[in-house]
Amino acid sequence: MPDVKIEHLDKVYDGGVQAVYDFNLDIKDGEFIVLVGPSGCGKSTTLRMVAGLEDITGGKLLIDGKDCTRLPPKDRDIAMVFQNYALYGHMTIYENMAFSLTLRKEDKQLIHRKVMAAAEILDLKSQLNKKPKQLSGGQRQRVAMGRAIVRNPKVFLFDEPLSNLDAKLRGSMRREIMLLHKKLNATMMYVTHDQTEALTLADRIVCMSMGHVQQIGKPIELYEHPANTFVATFIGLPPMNMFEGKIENGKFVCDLFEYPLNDEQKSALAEYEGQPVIMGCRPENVTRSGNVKLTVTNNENLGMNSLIHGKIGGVKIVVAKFAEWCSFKEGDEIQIGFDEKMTHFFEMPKTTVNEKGEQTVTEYGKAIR
Amino acid sequence: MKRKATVNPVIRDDIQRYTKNKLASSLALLGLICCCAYFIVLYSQVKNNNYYYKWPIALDVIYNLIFLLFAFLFSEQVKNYDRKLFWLQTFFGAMQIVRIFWLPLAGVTETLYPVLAGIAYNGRVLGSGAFISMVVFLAASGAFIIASGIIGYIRSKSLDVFNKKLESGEVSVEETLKELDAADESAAAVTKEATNA
Repeated sequence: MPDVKIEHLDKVYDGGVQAVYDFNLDIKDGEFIVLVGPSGCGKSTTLRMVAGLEDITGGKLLIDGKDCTRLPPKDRDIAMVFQNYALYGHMTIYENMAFSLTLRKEDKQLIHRKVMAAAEILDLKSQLNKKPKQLSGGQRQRVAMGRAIVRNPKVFLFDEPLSNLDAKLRGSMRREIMLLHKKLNATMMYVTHDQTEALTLADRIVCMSMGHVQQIGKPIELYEHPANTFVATFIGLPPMNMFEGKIENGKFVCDLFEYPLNDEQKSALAEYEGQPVIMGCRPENVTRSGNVKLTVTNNENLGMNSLIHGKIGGVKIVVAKFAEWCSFKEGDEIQIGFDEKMTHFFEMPKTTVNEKGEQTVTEYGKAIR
Repeated sequence: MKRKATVNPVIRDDIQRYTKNKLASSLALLGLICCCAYFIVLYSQVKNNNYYYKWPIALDVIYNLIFLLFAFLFSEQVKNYDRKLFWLQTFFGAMQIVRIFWLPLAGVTETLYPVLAGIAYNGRVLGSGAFISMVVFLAASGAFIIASGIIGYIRSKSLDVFNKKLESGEVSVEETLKELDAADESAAAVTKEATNA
């Protein structure tokens, strides 16, 4: 399997709207890359540029050392799996899987061997004589994957392949994709807006927003060391609690509470004395002891843990996740704190006011380390 | 790059389990198309007061409709490796050839002979071009239908035999696929060694 090199990729549509800005990524042989971000962040556009379905406005795309920037899709030796499966309804599963090879006029016996091998991997052997409409959503998606596998492409591209499936099926298909990657050891690019898929599948995650890459790293890096406020709030469920405040005399001070900094935090935040910063703490890092008073508004018991929604100072909504069964009622007041090893500090985001008078973020607050 | 594989009988038969018999099916449809061409030529000869403007043409229309229906049925049957209608298909194919001696030939004898014999004839004379066309279309139609039936029969029989062998464990597709993969791998290793050397 080959390396993929994406250098300074830009996408500007005809109307002048720029969808992707300066996208750079080196994908190693056999690596599983997940592009994650909210709708409209440019992740699918990037994938479609790699596939050749969108023209590349600027930059370079190298697949296995070959410049594929202006190459038509059929010559890139890539296979793409779409969200809506894109199967031919009048063909059987066998014919669907064999179709691309039949078009290439491959030998019938070789086609058969490849289709049978893919069907074996995907457990589709008993379905080969059926039509797509006779299969469930998960099975159809497996057929779509099988169609990609038989081509033995250099790179597999997945564009939100599990979005059409229900939650249970999505979970099982996620595991199947993981196993498939292990079996094939193929280079894969996977687009999703579901952070669970991103965290479980990826060797490395590319987190995108507003057409820009916000952070590239291993799932644990994005979770434990988010590069900015966007990554911090996007990765993790429920999202990270964020508090705006100031650094004053070795403390983080906001309207609702004061948080004493440890030595490491003090040295990292030394140059921010008196300046506004954002403190972030994930719900799972909120502790049950501390000096912050939380008024419970909702208690969700999930079995293994409980999600406590509440307000600090009657204003700020905070979510805490405790690894126990809690029986708080609405209006209960509890003391909470923040795990000092797992609190994050960020610079304030840069914003502008548009012509409608709305404040929009132009640059997310960078992490302070 | 395209690779040409050697024909493995197990794989060849196994392919039939997942693909339609397109050749036999297409031949049956060709037979149907040829029959259509035949009756287009024939009916273009039907004019008021000529030989063809008689009751046998009605029988021909009915027979053609029946033939078209059955030809389509044969096409679908052979596509799915079903040989239940093989004998009927052969009969209909043979009948197409027999039909040459009915209206086309009768047309020639009834219209051309009086003219050649110097007997007064007021109707339209069947031209040799139309006659030959009808003969060719009918003969082709019959040949295609019979060929479709024979191919369908042979393939369906071979598929049945293969399925029985699979059931009895005499052959195993999985084993064959593994053997072929192993052979490919060893061939690739030899090629790699040769390249390195």
